Amino acid sequence: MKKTFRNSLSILLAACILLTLPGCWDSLDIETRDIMTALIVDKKGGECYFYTEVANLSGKKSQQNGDQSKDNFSILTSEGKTFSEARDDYNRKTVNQVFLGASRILIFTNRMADDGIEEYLNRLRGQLDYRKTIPLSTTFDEPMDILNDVPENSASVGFAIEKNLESIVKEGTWFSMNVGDALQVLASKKAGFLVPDLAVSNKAITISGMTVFDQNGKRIGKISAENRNGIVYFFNPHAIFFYDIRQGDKKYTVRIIFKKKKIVPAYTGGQLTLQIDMSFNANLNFADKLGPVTQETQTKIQNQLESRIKQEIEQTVKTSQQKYRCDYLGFYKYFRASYQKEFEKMNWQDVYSHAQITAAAHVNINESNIPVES
Amino acid sequence: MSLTNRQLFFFVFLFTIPFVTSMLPKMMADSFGTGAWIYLTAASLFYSVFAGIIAYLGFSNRGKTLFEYSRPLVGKFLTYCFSLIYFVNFFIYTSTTARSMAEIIHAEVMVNTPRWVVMAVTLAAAGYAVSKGLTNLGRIFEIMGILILTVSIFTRFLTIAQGDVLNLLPVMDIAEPKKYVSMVPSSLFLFSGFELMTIIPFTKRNGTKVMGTAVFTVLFIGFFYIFATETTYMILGVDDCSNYNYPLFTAVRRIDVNALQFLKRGDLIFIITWITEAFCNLSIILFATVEYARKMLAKQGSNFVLAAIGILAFAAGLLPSSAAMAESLALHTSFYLSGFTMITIPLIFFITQKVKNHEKNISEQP
Repeated sequence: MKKTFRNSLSILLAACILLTLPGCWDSLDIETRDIMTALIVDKKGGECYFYTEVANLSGKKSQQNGDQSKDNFSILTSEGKTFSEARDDYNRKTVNQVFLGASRILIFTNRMADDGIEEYLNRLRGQLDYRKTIPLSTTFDEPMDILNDVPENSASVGFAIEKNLESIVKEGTWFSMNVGDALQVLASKKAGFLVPDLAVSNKAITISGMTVFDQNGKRIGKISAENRNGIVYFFNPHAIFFYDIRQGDKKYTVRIIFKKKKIVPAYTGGQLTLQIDMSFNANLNFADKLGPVTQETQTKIQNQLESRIKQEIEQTVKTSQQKYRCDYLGFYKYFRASYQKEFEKMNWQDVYSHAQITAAAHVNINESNIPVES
Repeated sequence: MSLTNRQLFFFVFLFTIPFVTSMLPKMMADSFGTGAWIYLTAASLFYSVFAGIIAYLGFSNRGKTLFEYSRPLVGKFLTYCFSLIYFVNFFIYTSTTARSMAEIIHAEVMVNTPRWVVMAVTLAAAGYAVSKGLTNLGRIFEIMGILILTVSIFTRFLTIAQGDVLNLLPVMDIAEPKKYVSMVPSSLFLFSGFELMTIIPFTKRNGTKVMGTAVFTVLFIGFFYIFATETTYMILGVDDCSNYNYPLFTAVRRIDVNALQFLKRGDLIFIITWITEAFCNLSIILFATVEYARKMLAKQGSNFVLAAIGILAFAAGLLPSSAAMAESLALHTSFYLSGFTMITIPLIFFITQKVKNHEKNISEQP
């Protein structure tokens, strides 16, 4: 009798644990959730708008456009005076409870970016099912133009943009910026940050440049993709770029691989000096004409590269100091590491914008696909 | 009823770390910034001395717990008084731990599951584990402890790989002295756990090494705290740590292991491990509470005492109106009671024991 009672009690306890602790109470079948893959946040005329791409799990064909590839995803929109109201409107329109954990991209329109994205990012801070590792971006295009785009090799706009960003970061020609990174910079209250900007060009979504945000999360400008080399060297430790160098009658294409950087701040008498040293490895990839390259030519290419990269770095910093008066390159972390007390008291924006910059680039051609003449 | 030295290490380790590590980075970021390691190192060195004292008392009175060896040292009345302090201390920890565990699980993992259900189920499961006795608890927690430690260290290394070392600078960020003073009560909360050794009878098998184990355990906990705090800083930065109640979870959620597609979201294993950790923690505290109650009521091995304390802890756990209140209650308990259980009472026993030994030596001299 006693044994039967103990066994029953054990089974009851096991059942309670299985039903509650592994999350059965919270679990919902996948088809009973609206799985969001992309979100565009917009603000116009004082109203907040959400445009979302939602995975279509019902198997029903979409009526939104004639393209079959869009059948797997639906576009849902909502609006309200505040984000909470817009979300409320969204909840009233959707059939199922929304699942945010599968979101691949968060896009802010330029109108929203002008108004400031800090409030929305703070809203995400507290939302548990929202991954803080999803990439951020902005756009000057209309949200429906972005969501109605048909990317090649992907049915979802959200997945396509995420993959695109991931691949260019991996290739070394861009840098990653996600919700968590933006939240970290905003928490410092003294620095700005850069967010990739998307545009629909020739029916394809392309990364056209980057939007500059200040310490309050407001858009203060845009930098075109062509001027990004200097910026990528600051953020991507695996940055790789190609440079065309003319030497004599030949044009050489050189692959530059970022090696390391050293930033040394010095602060005396209220004047900040930043010494930036970057080292690169280089690979002589090919030339427009056949024939070996001499040691002397190699040295000349090296010198040309050093001066060009140095110029790029200086221009990058100068733009942030003079044009935007905003430290979006993350110098504040280096300064704070050495001058914690001064940093807390000072107006970093002022000090940074008047800082003296010394930049140096060291290039070492350690590989050559072109025969080297000894 | 005994534990090996390794089991003792995991007992104290699992008693101390789960809840503290989840909120420690916020506490440290608010008070010490990147200089948190200085405070944690100093505190672990300080408390390791008292852990050594409790282990010495247990070693000098082999086969006895504090309740048993205190009678010849301080008399029956004081024995009951001291045991009552330990009991109240552990009881409050049991109820606040059950509540905090429910709050964290509710806030971070299962937002729809009511808190009282999590509390009831975890307390019932912990109660079942406690009913199996110290030796069985020691064996199972030794295995769980190894798994927990391995996963924790693995997750922390993932954090290092994806974090920014600049967030840890300046290394020597020395805070104002008044900050160190204001954080003394919190240090009691951070290191509360080794007083558990007062209910573990040591045997010959533990040997003199048990004192080294006790000291090492507290130092290791200090190191683990530093590791957890610094790696969280690496991901969130000191400024952002202050914006979360449980920064450890936030930091783990910001890790994507792209190289391992099957393990892309490392937070899943981390959360499962943390729940296991919290369960072990609750079982150990409940065990300590029940042992003191059983000894005072002279009801050795009584499951009635266990059930009664489980129900009372559940009811008491429901009393705080919010998570913040439950945490504040735990902090105040540590300030008012843990000071006695971790420092004052062991010190009284240590001095009394030394005096008695001295008297004995004198009386034995020809």
